[in-house]
Amino acid sequence: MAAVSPEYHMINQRTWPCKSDGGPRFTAFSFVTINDNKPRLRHSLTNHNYQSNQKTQNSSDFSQLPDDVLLKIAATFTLPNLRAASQVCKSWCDGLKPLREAMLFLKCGKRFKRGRGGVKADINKALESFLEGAARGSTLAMVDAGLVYWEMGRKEEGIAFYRKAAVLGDPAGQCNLGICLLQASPPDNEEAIKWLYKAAIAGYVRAQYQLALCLHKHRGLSRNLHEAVRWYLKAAEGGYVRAMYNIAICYSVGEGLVQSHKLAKKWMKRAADRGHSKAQFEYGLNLFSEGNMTKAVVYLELATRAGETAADHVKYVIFQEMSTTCRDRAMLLADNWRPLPSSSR
Amino acid sequence: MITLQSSDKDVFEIEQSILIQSGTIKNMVEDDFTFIPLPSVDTETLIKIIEYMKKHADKTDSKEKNIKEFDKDFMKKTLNELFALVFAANYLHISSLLELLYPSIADRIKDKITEAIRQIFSIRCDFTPEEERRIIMDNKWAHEGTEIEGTLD
Repeated sequence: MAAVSPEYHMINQRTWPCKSDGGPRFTAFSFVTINDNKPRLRHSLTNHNYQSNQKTQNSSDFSQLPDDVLLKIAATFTLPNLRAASQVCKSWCDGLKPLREAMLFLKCGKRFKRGRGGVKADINKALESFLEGAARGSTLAMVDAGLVYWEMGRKEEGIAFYRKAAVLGDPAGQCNLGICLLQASPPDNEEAIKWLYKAAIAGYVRAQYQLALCLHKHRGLSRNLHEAVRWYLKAAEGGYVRAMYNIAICYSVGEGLVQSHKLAKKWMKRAADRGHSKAQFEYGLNLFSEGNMTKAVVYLELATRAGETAADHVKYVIFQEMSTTCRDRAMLLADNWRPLPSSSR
Repeated sequence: MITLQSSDKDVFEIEQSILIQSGTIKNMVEDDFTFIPLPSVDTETLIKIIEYMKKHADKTDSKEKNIKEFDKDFMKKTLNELFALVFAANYLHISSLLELLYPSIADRIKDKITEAIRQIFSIRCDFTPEEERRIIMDNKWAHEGTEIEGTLD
């Protein structure tokens, strides 16, 4: 065979997907090594050859997962998941004991933080509890410890705990770490985006929004704008209210996607109904332009109450055209209004 | 160039710059080893590990998206393969690969009842009925809501 480049060269034909129930797996590959002194090795390993070469430690007996690996895999587990996993077999039960203890500390810490369950709020005791939980490997406790540190102004320590949680795959930890890095001086945009991205693809809605914001700010790069808008949309669909507002704006001006007044209106209403004050203002204006006075006034009133002073002026203008009955009705509707929960459709 | 030898005695020659992503190999290289036997890593797993490290060795901006796509596809593996990879990556201290593997395996455990987990991972229940009952009783935690605490505002 002719001389090859000084890297290993692999011809790999695999068929996917492979069944995890141990069904037929076809792995045929050959590889070549290059060394003038050693003989070349060339193997074709078919299915049955591979099976006979398998070592016992790799025979995939998951009950034999080492404790430290098991703890890292389960680090992000919430209580129900931890309980289900603990009941799988004896070795998992024993191995996961530190995390179960961590859960108790986590519960304790939350009580101290909020002053519930008969205990007085005590941020220091809360921190102590979270640190115990974190020491036992729970990323939930790590994130909570980070939050407390951050609230106390001990930002470096907060970031360190977010980072611990982030490397173990905790989306909240990753999101918080990303946000902290953006706020650092100087900001570390590259690393921030890396962590926000991980949390975003894990479906963490807040991270999706933050990632979109971050990409959006780096204007001038068309790739970033499209991606930013894509993440706004994901976050909006996931129920993040600020993203709903932003995507409505994007649709109305055609930024990063095709302009659509219909979709702009839909998203603006969604944001408004969930309490976004600017959206309430915009949607109120929208209704006014369509001639729906009473409803327009309701939203403008809500926006005013939330601090949008511009909404007050517009509302005043419309009031002049309305009868007292209509005004009263609008005010009553505003009084009785409650925001929809962000997860509702 | 460093030579790695799998548990199946197959050898691979790889550039040092690629292999230093493994903390274990990096330490051995610093101690001037050029031939590194890996008795706990079989050939197929080692090939995958090398494939991963090669892809991640070149982390320029333009390759970021490719790397992300690669990672996504790389994780589409059977449990047996993930199992072998996690052992190997743990031994070799390849932190970026572990960061991918832990959540991947965790996702296959999450949000499932115990019996389903046993089936997926082919684990036999080795508790006696009484032991099982006792575990449930011992671990009867109050349900105070398991929200993942809020993030910064």
